[in-house]
Amino acid sequence: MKKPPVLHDLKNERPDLTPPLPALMALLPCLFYAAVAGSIGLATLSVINTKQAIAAEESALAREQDELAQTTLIQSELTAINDEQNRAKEVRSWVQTTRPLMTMITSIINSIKTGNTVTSLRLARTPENPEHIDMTLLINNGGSTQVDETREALRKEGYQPFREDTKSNERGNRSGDVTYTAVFVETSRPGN
Amino acid sequence: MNQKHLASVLLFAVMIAFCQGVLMLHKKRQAAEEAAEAAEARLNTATQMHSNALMVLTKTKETTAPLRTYFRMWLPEFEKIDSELKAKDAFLPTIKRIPNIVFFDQGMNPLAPNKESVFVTQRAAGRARMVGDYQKCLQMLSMVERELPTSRISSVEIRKGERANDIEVSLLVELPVIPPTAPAAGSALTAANK
Repeated sequence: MKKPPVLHDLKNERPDLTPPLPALMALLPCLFYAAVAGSIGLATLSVINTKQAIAAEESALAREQDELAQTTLIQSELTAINDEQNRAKEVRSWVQTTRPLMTMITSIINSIKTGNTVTSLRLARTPENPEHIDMTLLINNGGSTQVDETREALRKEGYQPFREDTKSNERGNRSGDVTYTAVFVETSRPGN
Repeated sequence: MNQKHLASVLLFAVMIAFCQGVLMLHKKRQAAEEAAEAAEARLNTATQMHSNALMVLTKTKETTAPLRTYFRMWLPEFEKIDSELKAKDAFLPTIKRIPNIVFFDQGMNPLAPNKESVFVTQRAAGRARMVGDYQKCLQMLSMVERELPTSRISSVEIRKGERANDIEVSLLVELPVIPPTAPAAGSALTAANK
């Protein structure tokens, strides 16, 4: 049966040149539109998320740089403090070896009893052990009794003797001449 | 293959291209998110390091405060002598301040390095040999120790003098020398300056 003209009369009825596609292919345009819409939606979402991630990364990097800079500052301050501490230790160890010897000298002189005299007194510190004080004391008269008095006077001042030696220097009719040698260390340091 | 088939294939190709594009953007997003997570992890590590360093600093400040205060108290005294000349200018006028003491010898020995020291790298040694009244000589010794608080009498020998109250004193006093630009220990030894 002949089809009635649909559009206009100028268009002639033309037979199909090719066979029609399967009916399933009618879904193709729908799939196409869905793909376009889905792609645009997902692409937009991805772009937004990517931008957010990049912004978060940049922010984290900036904060990391800030933290690292502050840590570096702290490290340099710590180095300065440690350096100052090392210097302070050196200063302290030096100052600890500068305890006045006058206390020792006056103690020794005051401990000498009437009638006894000091011929020579030598006090020395060595650079290796400046806290040790080598003492050589030559006493006329008094002998070991005077040495004991002097030693006791120094103990009271906080000097402890070790490596002691007492030699008698008796010559002719002179008795009680002795040479007392000892190494003293400070056992008490007021203020430390 | 007719035109309808061709159009269908073309349409499929366009759809696949769209999917590929979306997939590419998705991968880019994943990479960006992973980079952001990694940056966040590094930030956490840096924050932790900063926090630890701050804690160590606070603790170090607290524990070293007394020693550093002590150091700052002494530092001006140590900084007064930064050369052999300054040591000489400090030592010789001090021993000569007490009158009526006769000096046989006075001067400075060469600078000596302080081994294993990074701050007090050198020490100067002033020497003097004198004779005088017992009290005045002891007063002079006391003055050296009082007016040069960083000095260290490394050797003192007292002997009876020829007259009743006279004593002979041989003195060796060490002074710490802090060079302005701290050199390595022993690198700046100078010649003896008599």
